[in-house]
Amino acid sequence: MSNEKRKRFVIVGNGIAGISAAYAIRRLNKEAEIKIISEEPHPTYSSCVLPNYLSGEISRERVFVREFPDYLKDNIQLITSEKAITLDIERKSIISEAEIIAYDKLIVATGSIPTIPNIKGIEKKGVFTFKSLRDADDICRWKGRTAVIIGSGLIGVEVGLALKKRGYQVFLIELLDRILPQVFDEYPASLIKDALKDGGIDVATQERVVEILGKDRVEGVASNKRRIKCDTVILATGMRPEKGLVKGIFELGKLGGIKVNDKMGTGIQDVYACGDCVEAQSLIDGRPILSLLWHNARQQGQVAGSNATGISKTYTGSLNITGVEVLGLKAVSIGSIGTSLDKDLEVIEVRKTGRYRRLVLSNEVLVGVQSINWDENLGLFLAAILRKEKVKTHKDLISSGNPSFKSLRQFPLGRKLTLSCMQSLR
Amino acid sequence: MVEEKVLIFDPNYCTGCMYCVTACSTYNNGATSLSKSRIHIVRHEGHAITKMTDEDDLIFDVITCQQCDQPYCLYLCPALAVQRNDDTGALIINHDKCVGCRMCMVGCPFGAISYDLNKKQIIKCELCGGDPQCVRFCASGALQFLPKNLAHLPKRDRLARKMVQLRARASKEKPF
Repeated sequence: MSNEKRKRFVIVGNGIAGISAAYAIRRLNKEAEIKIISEEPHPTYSSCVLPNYLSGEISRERVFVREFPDYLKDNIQLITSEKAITLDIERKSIISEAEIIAYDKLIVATGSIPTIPNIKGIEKKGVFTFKSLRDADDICRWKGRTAVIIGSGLIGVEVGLALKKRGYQVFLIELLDRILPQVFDEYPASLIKDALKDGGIDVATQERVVEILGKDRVEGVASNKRRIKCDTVILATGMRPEKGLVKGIFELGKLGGIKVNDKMGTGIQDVYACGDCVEAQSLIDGRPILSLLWHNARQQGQVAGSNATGISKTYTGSLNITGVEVLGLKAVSIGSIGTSLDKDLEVIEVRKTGRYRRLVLSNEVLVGVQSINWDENLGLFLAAILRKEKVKTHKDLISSGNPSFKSLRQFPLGRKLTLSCMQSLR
Repeated sequence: MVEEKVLIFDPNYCTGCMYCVTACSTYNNGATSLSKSRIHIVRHEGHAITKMTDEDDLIFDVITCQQCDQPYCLYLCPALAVQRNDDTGALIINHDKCVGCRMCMVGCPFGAISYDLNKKQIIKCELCGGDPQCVRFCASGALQFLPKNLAHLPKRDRLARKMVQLRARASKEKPF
């Protein structure tokens, strides 16, 4: 019996998915042996707040969400600076650089790595990616004056703002026709673009960077339209799942992530995967999507950890919830955008002075919200998206931008007891 | 581990006296400021559903953090600043970790999280560390703080009394 309890759990990856899984296991099984293998030398940090560290708003210590003593306290063994090289499924062990680690249950949470575009001169000094703490440290140490950011996703925009605060002159170059192309439609994206321009960032869309100039250090960037003199280049062209460990062993999906079911199982017995490296089903239409977002990784980690201990838990699906603050303009996008799904879409726009909201409905079901400077009630829209209920009945209320309190009462996530009390008393 | 308690609100008892709001903001901010209260009273007029008697057409609702089971404020926080206190079950904001991105406000479906512009801090009900002052000062007993396993009792009580009333009314109308 004691042997049964003292199961060996091994987690590859010390990101948010990895530690969420570790803490989920620890909560359910106090005696289990939990090992986390991490390539990086640090305890877990939040990559979402790295732009704030880069801009100097917060100190380096505040990037970390766990310290080394925290792991000890919860009896979680953290093996840092060690890369897991391959996986032996038959013998149930992980082969890393230094040792062979046997497991009873394995959770793969290797996360994502930046995609490196095929641009001439990419190996020069002064070209950075932005994903890990080391990247942020490198950029902090680098003394540059002018930066070109290739790609205008969330990372591109946030790094651009952070570098602007550090005193750089910033150029943001996007290949597509709008900035933040994955999370905003044209009009809201243009509002954000205007705000960035007001903040002194040079934003260009429909421009392709063809070459990075200079001898061994970056001296400039050549695009299909112009030449920009600069000393720093940031590649923010997207992320892709890191799957070096599992190549050839796991089934990979079409999008390049590890295929998982709604229990975060990989199809191989006793092996689970979670975080940025998996493609889980979308909450909106159930199709597999890559969702490289913090809260999804966190939920997936909890589900994977719980299922690994034998307590069944189902993942509801990945949902995009992103927010970006551009010099006083707060832009939030929840769910799908109008250009990502193509069937029976209906778009409701509410424009008021200084604020904007766009609702995307598919077959009368709310699937997405984008809002600029209009924070209130957003949570109700989130609830409506999660509930997948037809909005026909309270369309007027929703289109006015103020959903009713009635929709709140049917909210599925609340602490059931209090809510059911509230409901039946009414 | 202390038994987890939940905050229960019964709109039928609430008189809208705002004692809870005053107590909350005074206890948590040191001064009374309605905008900095973590609990809010909403006034509804002409609500027919809760009518006990015919002249009863004004009810009050309390909006505060529900300490959700699936808290989106906790999921969305990029700095792990929102944490669940295992003793009280409350979702607590760790202001040392908070980076001020306000994603928790975006995720909250109840609008229960607000932002203090002076202190540059998130304001959220934290159940006053296990002794909610709003319940302590509630004059009418509309707010109660009960262990989870007893939380259904006021509801049962209310339903029973409603049944008695309805039965009395029915027997008056249709004497057997």
